[in-house]
Amino acid sequence: MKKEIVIIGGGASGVSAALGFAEKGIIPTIIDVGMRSDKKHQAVGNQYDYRKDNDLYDLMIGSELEGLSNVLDGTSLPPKLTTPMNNYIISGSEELSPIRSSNFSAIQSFASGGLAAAWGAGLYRYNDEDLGSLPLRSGSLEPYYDRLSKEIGISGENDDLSQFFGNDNTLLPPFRLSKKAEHLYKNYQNKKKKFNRNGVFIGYPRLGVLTRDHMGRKQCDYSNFETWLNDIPWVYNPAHSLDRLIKENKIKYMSGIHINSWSRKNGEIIIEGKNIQDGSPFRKNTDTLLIAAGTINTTKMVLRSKRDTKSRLNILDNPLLQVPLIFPAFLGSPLDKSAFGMTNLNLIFKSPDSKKTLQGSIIELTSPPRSVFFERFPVSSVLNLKMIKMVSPSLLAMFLYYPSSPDEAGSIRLTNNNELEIEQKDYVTEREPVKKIVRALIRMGAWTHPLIIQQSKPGYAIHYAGTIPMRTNTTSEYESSINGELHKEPGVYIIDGAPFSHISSKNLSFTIMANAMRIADNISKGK
Amino acid sequence: MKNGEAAKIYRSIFRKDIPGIVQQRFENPSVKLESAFPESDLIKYRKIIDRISDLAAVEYASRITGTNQLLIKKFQIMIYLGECMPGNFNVFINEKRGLIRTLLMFTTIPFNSVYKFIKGFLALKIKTK
Repeated sequence: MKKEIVIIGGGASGVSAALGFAEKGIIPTIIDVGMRSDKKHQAVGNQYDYRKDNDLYDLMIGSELEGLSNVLDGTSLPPKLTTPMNNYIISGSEELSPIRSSNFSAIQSFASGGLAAAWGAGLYRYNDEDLGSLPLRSGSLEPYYDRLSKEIGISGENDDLSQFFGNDNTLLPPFRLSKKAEHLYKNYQNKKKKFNRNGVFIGYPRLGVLTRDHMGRKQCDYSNFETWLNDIPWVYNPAHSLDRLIKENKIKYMSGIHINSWSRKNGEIIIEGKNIQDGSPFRKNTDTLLIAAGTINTTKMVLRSKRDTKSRLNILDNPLLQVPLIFPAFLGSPLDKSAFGMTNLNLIFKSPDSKKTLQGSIIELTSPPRSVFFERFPVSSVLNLKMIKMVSPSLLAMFLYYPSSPDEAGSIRLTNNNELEIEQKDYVTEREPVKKIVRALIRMGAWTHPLIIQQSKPGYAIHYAGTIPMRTNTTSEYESSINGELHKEPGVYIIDGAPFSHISSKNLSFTIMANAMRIADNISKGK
Repeated sequence: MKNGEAAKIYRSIFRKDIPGIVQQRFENPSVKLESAFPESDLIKYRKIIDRISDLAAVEYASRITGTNQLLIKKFQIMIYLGECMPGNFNVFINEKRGLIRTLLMFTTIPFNSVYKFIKGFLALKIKTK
């Protein structure tokens, strides 16, 4: 008799697989730690109108001092993960999956929705060039991108970036650009032939952010609360789909359970873990196990199941440069309080002189607390405050992502204490393209300089991948087939970022989701 | 908490009296922070708080020279706590066009920075021995 299908993890990939099964009338069981926020807040309207009359302590600092964690603990978490209402996204990771690393900033989530509960919602289709040496072609992913687009609601525009992102007729209208982004975009449009000749292209991002009501979720209201509040309806979170599937009885959902490993007995897969609440052991038998615990935790589960503390596996993340963009025309201007406080534009650099295609996310900075900018300026504290007030309204930031391949990978290993150890040398990022990008941005009205560009610590992009590479013919126990099945482990499928042994500069999330749905589709054909 | 420590730091940054609620809120993170520093750092920090009036200058000199991390972090905590207060809205948020004010600020930055650095550096040398 066929047993029920079990998916470990309720993040982007686990939920995408569940959506795939649901379409085929198969009801899988999702086993998840499934942290949720118990905090609700009544903040309404625009953030900046709200803060004129209201104390922000509960929203910004919190009773556990979450908002001060970067100061108190020396971490460098993105602002959203430190706000009291969103800190649940990373809570429990220290206890459930400790990581030792001096040079890799590893962030894990055991929340419902996973790390996607705090993502920038960039959802990009990979073309064949992006997939590179992976034994997967974009044509096999396209139907799943389309199906997920309908579920998520992706905004954007078919513009100069369509040659990289693909033409997509299902896009919701793009959102309103902030004043600075609009200024930059107009200047780009005026001389775009010249910029394009130099390899620089600019256009709207493809974001899982609603500009129209969709699937019962409200459209973006430009309130700038994205950093502060949880469950913002217009930013897609896989937990939205998870909740719908639970409500419609299309999945069985078991939360509060942390799975450590699996073993085999009489041909069956026995999943082993513990209940978070009381620490009691948990076991479940299946013949089909889909592991979607996020690259790092999935890798740990695989290594633990094989009791392997010797092997060092590759781990990838996009090398990332943070490029501040100062708009002299906006110096001293009022803060654009109704700007869209996430990625406003994308920049693609693709030149015949450069081997790598780079992608930049040009981000409006109106959503995070102003205090995150304190001491970013090399002046006294009093002047820092004045700079925050008078200069920060003239700033955008660009996150410039590089592709990553096995020869740039770090290593990940399970220690005898069941902790993970990650090692990563500093990235070597090609700087010639940066000079060309900087020159182009200056011509578009944004001042920046290579000397003020910061290279982020490895791991900071939080696009982890490549530990269990996907191969046409698997030969080692840490490889997965094109259908996601782990080598010599029939019925065990790896469906998150782990099989991607090469990542382009485009955010991998949407491709992970489409691949998970594709694998679910293939499994359901055999059921 | 040291006598008047929170009030002194708040005044150095915001140039006004500390609201009672901010003073209360400062205590908990302050204690947590201090527990991560060795006794020698705490002794030096207490000397700075007790003996130096221009804490902003000392904090700036410390930031430039990479010393006195405890003072730097306490300033950071106070900035966050200060931003929470609706009364400080205008300290952080600009609602009016102010190009001339901004340009004037830029002209004062080099002088202010050099002055503050020297003042803070000397205060640290002389008053914390």
